[in-house]
Amino acid sequence: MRAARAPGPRAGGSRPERTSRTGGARPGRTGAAGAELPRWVLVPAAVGALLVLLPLAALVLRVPWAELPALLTSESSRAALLLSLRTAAAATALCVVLGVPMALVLARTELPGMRVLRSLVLLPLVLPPVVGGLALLYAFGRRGLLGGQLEALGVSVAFTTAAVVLAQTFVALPFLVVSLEGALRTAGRRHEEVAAVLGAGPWTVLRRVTLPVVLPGLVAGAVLSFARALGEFGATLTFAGSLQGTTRTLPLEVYLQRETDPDAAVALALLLVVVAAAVVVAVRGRAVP
Amino acid sequence: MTTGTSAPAGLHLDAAVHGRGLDVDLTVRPGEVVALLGPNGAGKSTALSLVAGLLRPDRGRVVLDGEVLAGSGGDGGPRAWVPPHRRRTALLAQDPLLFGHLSALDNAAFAPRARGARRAAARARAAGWLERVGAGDLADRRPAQLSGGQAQRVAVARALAAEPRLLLLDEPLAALDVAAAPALRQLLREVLRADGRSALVVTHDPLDVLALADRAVVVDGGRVVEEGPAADVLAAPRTPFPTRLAGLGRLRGTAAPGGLRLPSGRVLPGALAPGCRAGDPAAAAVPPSALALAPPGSAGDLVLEVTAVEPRGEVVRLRGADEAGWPGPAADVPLAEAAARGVGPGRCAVVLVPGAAGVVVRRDA
Repeated sequence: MRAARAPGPRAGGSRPERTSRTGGARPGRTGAAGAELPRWVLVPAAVGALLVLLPLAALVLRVPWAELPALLTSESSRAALLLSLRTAAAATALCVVLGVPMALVLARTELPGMRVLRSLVLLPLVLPPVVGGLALLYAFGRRGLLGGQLEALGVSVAFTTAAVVLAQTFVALPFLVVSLEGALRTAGRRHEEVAAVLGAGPWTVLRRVTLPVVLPGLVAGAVLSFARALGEFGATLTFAGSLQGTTRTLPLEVYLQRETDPDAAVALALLLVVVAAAVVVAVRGRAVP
Repeated sequence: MTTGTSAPAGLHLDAAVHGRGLDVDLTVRPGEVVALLGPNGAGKSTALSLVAGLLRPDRGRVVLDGEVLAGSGGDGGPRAWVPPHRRRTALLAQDPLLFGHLSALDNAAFAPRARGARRAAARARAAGWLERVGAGDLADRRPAQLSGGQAQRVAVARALAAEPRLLLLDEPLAALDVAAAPALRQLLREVLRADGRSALVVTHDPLDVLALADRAVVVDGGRVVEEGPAADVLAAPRTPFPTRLAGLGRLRGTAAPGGLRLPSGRVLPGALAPGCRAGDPAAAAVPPSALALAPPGSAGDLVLEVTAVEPRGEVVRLRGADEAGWPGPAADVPLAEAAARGVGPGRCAVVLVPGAAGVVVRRDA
């Protein structure tokens, strides 16, 4: 898989004839010599790859390169960008603080009902974000489940920057939990057992053995969570609204500008594509040897 | 020199784990090294886990130096549980299991650090142990930069730096190549013998048993089936597993005053075990060197039902059929003779080699 640089597999897939020829010419490559795929598989595979790449290419072709600096530094753009970076960073931190203990409990305890709990934790991954936003609203909104108590404490969450962070954490948390739980299961418990027998209490084992061993998985999970938080739209709009500088993050700004200033929307969209591509390279670069 | 001044009283393990079909009763006296033998799945590693605190007993208890480490409380004894990190044991497995993110020095310093020593003090102690195991020059290396033998040396240093009351060794040499194993066996022998340490060693290697252990305990089907001085268990085993481990075969006949009478009437020289009288059906564990091919045309002293022919350097070992789990008798035949006689699977007449060492003749139940 040496050729798998960032967009490698996709680019290769879009040119099926060449891939099959070079693959056949190098019998040493894994999978090339043994059972071959039926050739027709390459056609839908190529269509799928095009479906992903063509729109992105179209977007990049539409970028007004000359005005890009001005568009990206306009007041509304800067406000959205700064807000997005701040909220996504805060959401990532929250994901780490809450997600690491969750992954530890899921991977290292055998309580009844753990399988059900694991499925529930993954729910935000498949839930439409707008539904998540609605759920958050009914939990923390002014008239929500905890809204009254929060109001009494003088805290109002909905339609504030805190709501943005909550919405982003809600959707991004499963990424960190899944990534870290997988790393914990792969690492196994034997090093932890040796450490315990050597005299390390549970907290020392966690701090000096478990976390260092799964650090790559934790970093990958945090990066994925950050990317998911940065791209959050539906839950944010529903739960936090779209107030410039307060809750209007980059994706919301892109959506709004699309009507009034398409060039600005495209410029900001490009920014999100670049961040997403960087994240994919960073995570895949770690995961794929 | 590091085992402290209080008089230790050793390990007493009398416990059962129902899920794994284990119910054992064994003792390690202070300063004693006990080899734990048995077929795969017999429960040897489970027994170590019980002592280390990685597993709770369903019945019985684990007592080390008078302290109840685990007690099920069901049989009159106290209900107790000491977590693994407060037991002062150390576990050395066949995989070194070094912490990959720490240098060899910090691996060896792990236990002192975990017990609250300052970094500098822990490292100084760790350096001493690395020196002791011949890995002083590896202190700065990461585990990924160590060979299998080097990593296991560092693992030994890490275990000893914990100053354990009891060392638990789970096939410590099994993963090493033939070049690295002897040196590490010698090292273990030094650290176990010289310092008068108590240890429980799981092994599949008769050399380990003889080199490291004072006593051997054989576990089979989750029960202790045999125990005794290590050399005796291997020389005159009472159960199938150590017979096989020592490379011996079980020869059946009739007890006679001077040993074991074979069907031919000749007597294999040996001593009758207590409870075995002349005339009783009896058996003895004999080495392959005690039997040789009968001359052509001769009926020999006994007939082997040869099931396997194993080349072993200058000789070929003809292995008789197993019987009720026991390894059958075997005979070593010089290579040239084996070739000339065309030996192979099937019936094969063999004779006793004169002057073979005496065996122990036991009543054949």
